[in-house]
Amino acid sequence: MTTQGSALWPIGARLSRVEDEPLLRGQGRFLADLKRPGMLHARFLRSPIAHARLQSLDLSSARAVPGVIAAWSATDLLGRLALSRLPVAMPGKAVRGPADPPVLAAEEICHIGEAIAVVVADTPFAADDGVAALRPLFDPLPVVADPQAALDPGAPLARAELKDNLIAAFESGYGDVEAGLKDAPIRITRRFRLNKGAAHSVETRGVMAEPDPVQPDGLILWSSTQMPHRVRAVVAATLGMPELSLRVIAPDVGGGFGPKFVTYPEEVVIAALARSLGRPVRWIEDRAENFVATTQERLQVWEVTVAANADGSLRAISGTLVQDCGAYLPYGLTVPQNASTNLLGPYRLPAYRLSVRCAATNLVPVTPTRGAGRPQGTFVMERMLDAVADAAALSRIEVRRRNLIAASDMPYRTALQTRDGNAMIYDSGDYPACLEQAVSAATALGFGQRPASSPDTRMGVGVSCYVEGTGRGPFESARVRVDPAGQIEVSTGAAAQGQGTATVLTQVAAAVLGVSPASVVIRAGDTAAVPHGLGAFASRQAPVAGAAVRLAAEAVRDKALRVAAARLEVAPSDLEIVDGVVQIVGVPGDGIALADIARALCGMPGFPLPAGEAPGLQADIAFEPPGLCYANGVHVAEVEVDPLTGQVRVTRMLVVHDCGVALNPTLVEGQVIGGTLHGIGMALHEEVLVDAEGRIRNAPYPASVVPGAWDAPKINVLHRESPTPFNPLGAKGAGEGGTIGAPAAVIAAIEDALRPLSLALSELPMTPARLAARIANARP
Amino acid sequence: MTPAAFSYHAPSTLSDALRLLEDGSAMPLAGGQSLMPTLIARAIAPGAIVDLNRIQDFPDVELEPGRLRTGALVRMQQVIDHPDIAQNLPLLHQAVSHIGHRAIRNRGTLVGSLCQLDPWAEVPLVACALEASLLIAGPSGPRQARFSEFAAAPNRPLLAPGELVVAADWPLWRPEHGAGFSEVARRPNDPALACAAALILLDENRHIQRAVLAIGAVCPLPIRCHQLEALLVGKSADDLRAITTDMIEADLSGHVIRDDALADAAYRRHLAPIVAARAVEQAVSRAR
Repeated sequence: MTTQGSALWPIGARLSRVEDEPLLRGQGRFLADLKRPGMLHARFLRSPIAHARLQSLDLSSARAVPGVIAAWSATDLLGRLALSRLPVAMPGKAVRGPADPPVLAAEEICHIGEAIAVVVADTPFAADDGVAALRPLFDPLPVVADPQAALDPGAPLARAELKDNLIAAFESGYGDVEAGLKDAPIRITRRFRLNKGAAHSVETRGVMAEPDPVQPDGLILWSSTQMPHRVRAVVAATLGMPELSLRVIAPDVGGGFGPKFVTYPEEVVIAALARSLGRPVRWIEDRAENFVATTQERLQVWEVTVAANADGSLRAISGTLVQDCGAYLPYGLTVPQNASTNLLGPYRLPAYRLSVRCAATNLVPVTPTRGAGRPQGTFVMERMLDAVADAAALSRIEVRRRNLIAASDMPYRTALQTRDGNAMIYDSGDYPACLEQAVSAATALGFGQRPASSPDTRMGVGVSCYVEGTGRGPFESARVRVDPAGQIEVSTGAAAQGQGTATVLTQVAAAVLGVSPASVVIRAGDTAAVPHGLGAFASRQAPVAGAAVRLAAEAVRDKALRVAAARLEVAPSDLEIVDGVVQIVGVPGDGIALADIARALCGMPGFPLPAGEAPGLQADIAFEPPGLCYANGVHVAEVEVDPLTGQVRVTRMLVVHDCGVALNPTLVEGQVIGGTLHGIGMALHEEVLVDAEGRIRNAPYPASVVPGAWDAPKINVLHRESPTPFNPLGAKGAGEGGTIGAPAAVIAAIEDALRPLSLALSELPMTPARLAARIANARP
Repeated sequence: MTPAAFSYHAPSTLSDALRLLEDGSAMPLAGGQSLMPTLIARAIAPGAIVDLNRIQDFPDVELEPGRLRTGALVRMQQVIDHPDIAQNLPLLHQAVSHIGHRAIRNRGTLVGSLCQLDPWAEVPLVACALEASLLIAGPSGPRQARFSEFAAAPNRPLLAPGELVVAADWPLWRPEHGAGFSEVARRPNDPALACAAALILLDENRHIQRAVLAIGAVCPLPIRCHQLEALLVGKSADDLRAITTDMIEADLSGHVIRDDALADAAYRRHLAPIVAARAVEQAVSRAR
């Protein structure tokens, strides 16, 4: 059977994004665009104190505000919930205490911004007036605002129910580390501080719920989530309602980057309000609220020793990592787990041991943002390699050459396990060739070769290599259905936040079925579309959802060919699909339209289905990947540094990126460029500054700095394609590699620009003030 | 967030606006670039907003002998687009190009920035350096105020109840002055961490005959560096040693150095002589 020559937009073509026209015309449907008749507006009262007991909360002042319909505290909520805490803990032996956040804090408040009460009114103004009228009284408790101090003996508890603040501890590693360290010709110890950051999606979070107008006791919930099926499971369990009665829809989502795959208290509260009041209720998070109500990332302190031979080849790495987890663990230990495993990168490391201690603090809870801990592990490894290069008097490129895993070693089984408990296996890739391609391309582009743009600045170049575990399981679902009008409906548990999911799934379905992309409709982000699904995380839409769509589309194609073959009295292998018509290979005309086959498979009362087939021209597939597929890449950064002010401008970036088969290179480039800019932000700007009382000092903007389009450098992206054997498309994920590789390359470039100063930069972000101080202290 | 309730007025004449502003809880709205975010954060809760945008009797950009007048509704972007401003007030032109991006400059007004008096703002710095003045209308009639007196405290212009700034007057310095502007910000066009504006006049021997230097964003209000200016006068333009921290210390002494999330006081103190030197250097290179 073949569809070759029939695909108008084959896999690998640069199909323009199918999402863009409505978005560019202002016809996007984001949460704040959704309005329902009789809709009420909710606002939350949030704690201004990081750790306290709620002494009293009198809601009558809010209830007295004109327009306020209801005001609830945890007490009011209690009888309406099956669970008082969100069941979001993830499986894991390492966790030593309760992980779940309360729906509304009843007595103890454990971080700034924790929701205490909700006010519902007929306008957003009245809801804000209602919250402003509340005068909660608090008994302050000692604040744990630093993860290292949290682990000191005798530190105050971040949560009264904990035995101590060590919320989790685990070790990663293998091999004989002591032997590697002993008598090593090169032995370097560094301390890294990677400060707290946030995701900063352009659209904040939002939730709307309304009683289902058709299904008794049913509820429809819209959320700007990355994981609608997960939201359904958590909300249904917390409310004590059957999942079948709850439909969750993610409309257009304006950026996710991680925090939107967490299920939050607001989703439960808004659902409970809509159920109880019998009216639609909507909450839109505001920009300042986003800094305290949405999860954040990192704040890691590493102390790492690397041992290497005189030729720069690695012997061992040993170290400790203290991870801030914030007040609760709504997404498990993903960040420190990924950080500890991704440190290995594309290198041969004979022995490794990392002791990880995770601290509960009175800070905003930590969950992954783009990269999910991998940028941190990669940063540590790449900076240590630069240190080894300098100690061995090698170029920073040469030291990498001497440690990269060879192409002939693929697939490469590391001695580590990933967080799902499986062996960490690099499935495919040619890491040395990727590095050489980056080096020669950067040379050809003249990186670091032109004079600095101003007499005040100096130019430097940095390189980093990385791997990225993508396409996490356990599965993703797809249903492909041809309707009798010939439209192809692709339903999936995948979810879109602007990354082009609909485009890439359209492209896969259209290519397999030999139809125009215009005839494909994607239904994603809706629990009513498919019974099971996971959503958007771990760079998985192309390799997992894409593979599911491909398999489902192939099943539909094969069925159509069988039906047509029976009618035309030929073998299915003699047929092809050209622009939606099944015809004999190379013989246009006299074919049968897919629409006609679909109509025939709908059945006629009392008549048999054609060719003895089951009803419906459709197929349901849940694709279960056998393991993570590892994308890889190399970043080269060129920066200009002003040594007096400490200002850094990234002038150019080059990324050689291998995500297996690039289903749509334009979309891959969009992901890599956006991710790289995100990584530049991590390197230079992004930091949630917290004072000793756990209060955020730099919310919202412009006190909090993120990279923008107008300070973005030119980012060149070159593709390599090492197909993965782990899915039928050969595609790996592309969503996070840009972020993983960029920070190390940018910081290395800063060091390079400031030679001969030996700065050993090991803090993120490297703000101008920090860099100026380091330069000043480095001077004799 | 949403603002607390207020009443909204959009008068079409200046006299109507002044009458509405007699209510002490009323605030004027020009560009809204600063007012709107402050309102929705409920950091302020005025009883009334008096929208000035329908008023026709404010001056526009008016070039007169010895001064350039910009009315209350003149937007930042007009500084860049208007040939009279670019040509006659090169310092203002340079400074405004550091402000936000076009959408912000299209909305924000020059007079609004002078009244807002944000510590990091470029327009008050230029007003300080150029010795601008303000035309103010109010219940007791129009008056003229020097910027240095008007700028009483950050975000607190010296205005009597019911008064409204109608225009800013920018003195035209002799075109032989070279103008220099230097700014350090986290990203291009972000709020300044430190900035400096300089005007330099050279004599025929290329010695500094007159020097004006003002530092912004380092202290709560722009600082005119009279003592450093005195040190510069008489120096050869071709033999300008770098301005060092101790040279500027006298001018900064007695002033609070700002310390916030974007930059601590030590870093701002570190930046002050750097931006000062760069502004002076640029001004020297442009003097004729």
